[in-house]
Amino acid sequence: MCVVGGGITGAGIARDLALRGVDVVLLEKGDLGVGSTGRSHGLVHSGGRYVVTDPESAAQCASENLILRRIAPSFLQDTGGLFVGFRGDDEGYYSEFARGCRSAGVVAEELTPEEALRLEPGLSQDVEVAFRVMDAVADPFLLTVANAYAASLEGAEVLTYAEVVGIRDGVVRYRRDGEHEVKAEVVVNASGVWAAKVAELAGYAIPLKAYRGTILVYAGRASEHVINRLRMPSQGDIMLPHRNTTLAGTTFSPESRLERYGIEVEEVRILRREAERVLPRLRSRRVLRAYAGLRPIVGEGKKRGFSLFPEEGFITITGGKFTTYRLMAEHASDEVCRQLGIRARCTTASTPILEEEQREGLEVYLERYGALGAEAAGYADRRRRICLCEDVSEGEVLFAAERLFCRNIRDIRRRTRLGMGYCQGRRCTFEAALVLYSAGIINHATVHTQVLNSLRERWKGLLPLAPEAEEVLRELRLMEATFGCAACYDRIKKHIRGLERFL
Amino acid sequence: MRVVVAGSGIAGAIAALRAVEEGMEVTLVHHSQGASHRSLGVVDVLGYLREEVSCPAEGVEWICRHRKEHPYAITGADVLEEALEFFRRMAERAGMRFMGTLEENIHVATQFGTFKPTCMALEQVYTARIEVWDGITVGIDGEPQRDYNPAFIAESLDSLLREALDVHPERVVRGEGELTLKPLSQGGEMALPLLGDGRGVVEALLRVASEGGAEVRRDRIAGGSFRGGRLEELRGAGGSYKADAFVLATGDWIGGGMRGLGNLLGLDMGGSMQVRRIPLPEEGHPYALSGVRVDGSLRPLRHGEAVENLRVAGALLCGYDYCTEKSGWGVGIATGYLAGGME
Repeated sequence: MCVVGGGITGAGIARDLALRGVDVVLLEKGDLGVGSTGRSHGLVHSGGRYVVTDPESAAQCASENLILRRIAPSFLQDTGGLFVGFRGDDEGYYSEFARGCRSAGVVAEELTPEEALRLEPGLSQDVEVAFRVMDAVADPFLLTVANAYAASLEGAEVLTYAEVVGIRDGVVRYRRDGEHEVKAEVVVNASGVWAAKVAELAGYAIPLKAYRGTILVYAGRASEHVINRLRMPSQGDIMLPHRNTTLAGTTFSPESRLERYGIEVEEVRILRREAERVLPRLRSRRVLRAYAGLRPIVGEGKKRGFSLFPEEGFITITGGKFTTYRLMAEHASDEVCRQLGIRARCTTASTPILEEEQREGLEVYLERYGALGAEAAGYADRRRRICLCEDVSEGEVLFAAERLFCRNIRDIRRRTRLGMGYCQGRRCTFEAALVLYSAGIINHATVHTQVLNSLRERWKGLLPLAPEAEEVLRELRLMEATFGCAACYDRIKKHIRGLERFL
Repeated sequence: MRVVVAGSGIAGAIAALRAVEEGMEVTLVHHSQGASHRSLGVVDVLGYLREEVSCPAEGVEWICRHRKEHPYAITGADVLEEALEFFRRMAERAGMRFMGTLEENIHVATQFGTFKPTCMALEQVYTARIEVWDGITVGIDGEPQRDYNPAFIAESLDSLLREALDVHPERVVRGEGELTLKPLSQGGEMALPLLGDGRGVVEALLRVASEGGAEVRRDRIAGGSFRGGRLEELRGAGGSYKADAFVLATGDWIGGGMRGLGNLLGLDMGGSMQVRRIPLPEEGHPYALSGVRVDGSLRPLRHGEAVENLRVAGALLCGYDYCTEKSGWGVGIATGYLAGGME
């Protein structure tokens, strides 16, 4: 069978089915997790956010949260979370929240404002009421890659940069350095916001809408817990520590375009206002980047559950949340097995995604790459630091390039965080390209195109911040001075030809 | 006369040197490293207008006629020429020999495996300009370093020069070299400029200024006070600096002279803040043209009135974009020279 879409859901389905002994090919049109998955904040919800508006999703989040803690502990940072109400917030919501948590099975322990401030001294002093919940944080790219990696260990084939262009009579046609096809008795459409488009290729219509959510990346961790606003779900409700940054999100607005949608300056303003109200220390922190993703939502947008459309030979699963990806994969895989007459049961709720090996000297790699860290440690002799901001070594760049389904430097960035820090890749992108060149992985023309593409990607994330964050102009200008003034890429890029060789 | 120069990029260094030469009592206050320190250390006067410029003198003349906001239109071509001579003389004092003329641009290879037009360069770089590669084989030497890989540079230049430099087609054949290039930092006879070599040049110029009697101090300028259309003092963290005249050469956003849409002294800014959606457009970004507005003597405007005893030099000025024009050090030297002379 064939899975279309390499987000967390598609990767989860590939793994689930591979574990049941099904022959799986996964086709992803870009990089793994590059759609809504990687553009989420990577929050493994306690469920609290949905207890009032969507109790079913809340209950799903609560139980999947516990399962993920069991099967992927090394990929989760068990930060815990707080729901915090501030002076001026709607007090009626507080009791609704407490009631909702009890009935949906979401663990929530009420704290006094003093207790909350002791746990999180950076919170605004206006705290009125607080609940402690079981939020955790995951790196969405890494968790997706881990699922794909685990699937491939079980025999699944994972193809990135393979865009599906036709689905008919049990044959899926796709483009990947030329056109190819693969036979499949069943196709699972797990293409997230693109699900309606992919379904159309197979002749089906899916009622899907896309809602844009924007997230800001602040430098440094401003809290150690996930901080949720205790109010009716709105914009700018969640602040969470991720690696060495704080993510503040999200906004919610309908989006008609699936690609090349922009971030509005007003969204940046809302997010800054809300985040800096909750964690005042963010006022003096630098905003490194803004990014936006699309939520695929079936129906009218109030409910955040997932939907399964089980046509014969063509199953679509969409909607849902990062937190519930495993459950979505289970439902879709159950349907595949029903159609194929396979009896094997789902084992993903109890089987660890990858063997979690604890070994001396491995700690730093486990912390960064979860259970994939054991593989990364094999490159430990290449210690030279390439990315100084995020402390990424030459070995880690090669590890990602050779083992983790990477085809370019942006893919490597998503696995390793290369270039995600202060300078946004200005200093390390060229060096990383040289590492790949020296290892014989890319040719000289590809060095140039990789550098230029990476710059373009980083530029996109800085641009919406320019009017709001003064220091952003400095970063933009430094990029121009380095790659325009000194390297002359602005004038020479049109001459860069030659066959690009991918990884 | 007592002069305080703020900024230690190429414009500040030249302004201080000129003021010392004119017999003034000079204090140079500097803080961070700006664009000059991160540059290749070559003197770009004008590499491109809409098209590539082969004779900078002609290009500058065109600018003087057609782009009144441009710093070259304010200094004029004669001052530029005089200033470059002055720079050459001062560099010589620091033991650095710069070659090149306003009559032609040369092309230098970069560590990015690209090449760029420039006007003057250190002798070692000038003698390794691409123009002399005609008919001979080129090798690039040295051990791979962080951001320098000789094999990559050679391979990239080989294909780029064939593809791009139609003025010199088929010039380069790669192989065992009679002509060997080495990175400047490795002291090669035929040297390749590296990002960051500019720092060596401006620091050497500061030493010359200091030997000539200028006092060089590290401090961050935070503001200043005005009275009656004159700047009375600049304020830093380490104290205040009073003088008869001042030169502000604190750079753009990179050097810290500009913060967002403003500058340290609340001087009038020109230009828009529009940033294009993609980096490195050939036509440049509108925001890159913004900076402090000045009169014909480089005196900045404040609430529409020129500040009598203050001059602005270098990237803090509005009306030009050194990144796309490749005019960074040319403008820095010309305006620094004019500002330092208090003409």
